[in-house]
Amino acid sequence: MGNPLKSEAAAFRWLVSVVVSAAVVVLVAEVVSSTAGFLVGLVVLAIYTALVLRGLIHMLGSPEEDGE
Amino acid sequence: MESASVAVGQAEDHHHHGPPEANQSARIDQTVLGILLFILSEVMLFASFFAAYFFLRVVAGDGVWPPVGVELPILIAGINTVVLISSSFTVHYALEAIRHGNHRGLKLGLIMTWLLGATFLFIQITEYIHLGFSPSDGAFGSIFYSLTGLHGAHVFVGLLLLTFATIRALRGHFGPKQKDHLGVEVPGIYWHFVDIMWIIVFVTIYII
Repeated sequence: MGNPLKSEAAAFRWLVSVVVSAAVVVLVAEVVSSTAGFLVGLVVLAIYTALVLRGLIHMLGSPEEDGE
Repeated sequence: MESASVAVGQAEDHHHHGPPEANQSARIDQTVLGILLFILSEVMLFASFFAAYFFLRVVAGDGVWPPVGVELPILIAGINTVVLISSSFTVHYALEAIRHGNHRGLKLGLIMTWLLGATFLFIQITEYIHLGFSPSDGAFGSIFYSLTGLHGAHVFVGLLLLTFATIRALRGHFGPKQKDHLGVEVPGIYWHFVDIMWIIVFVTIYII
């Protein structure tokens, strides 16, 4: 989805993706139960945390690592 | 000897003006690192409030959450959520417009964003007035107003940033190159962050 700190367009893509994820959580919470919605929310949060951490590790790496 | 070293120093000064260039030990440039640290500190601030919310909810145990007598206006908050998400689309439109050199679109997008943001705050304040409970009415009241109020403060700051950007746009500032519209790009990123935080607040407090 790109680095949301470097461009607004990338931040916008993150927003759209969060809106879609939130819609899924709301749907599960309304159709099944609040607990199920909470659990799906946790899974979504874990996925986003992993994406952010992966991006951060790449961003904070040394320029020498990739010969920049 | 001392005068010689002073002379050398003066010669160096003659060739180099200003402070020495900062050493860069990471791929990330200083500006992005600054924004990153700011956003991370904001995420941690919100995380502490969410931790307090879930702690109180767990402590409530089998008790009803929200407490008996508290009716949250889910429909109004849902409409407010749509209003705020729409404002992200308009700020994105504004930036796409200026990337293509469309100044009219930039102005229109920024004004629409500002109006939608102000509408969100207005609806939230109206909601506070009609809720029927206050921050001093138990743990739920405290955390509800703290979390939504913290977010509302961020929307207010975002509106200030958008005000400056809109005034500059109306005066003909900004251009298609990225360096020429950073004054819109940075508030745009901040605005999307504020929207994302609201989606999480809304789902947590009103839905789950």
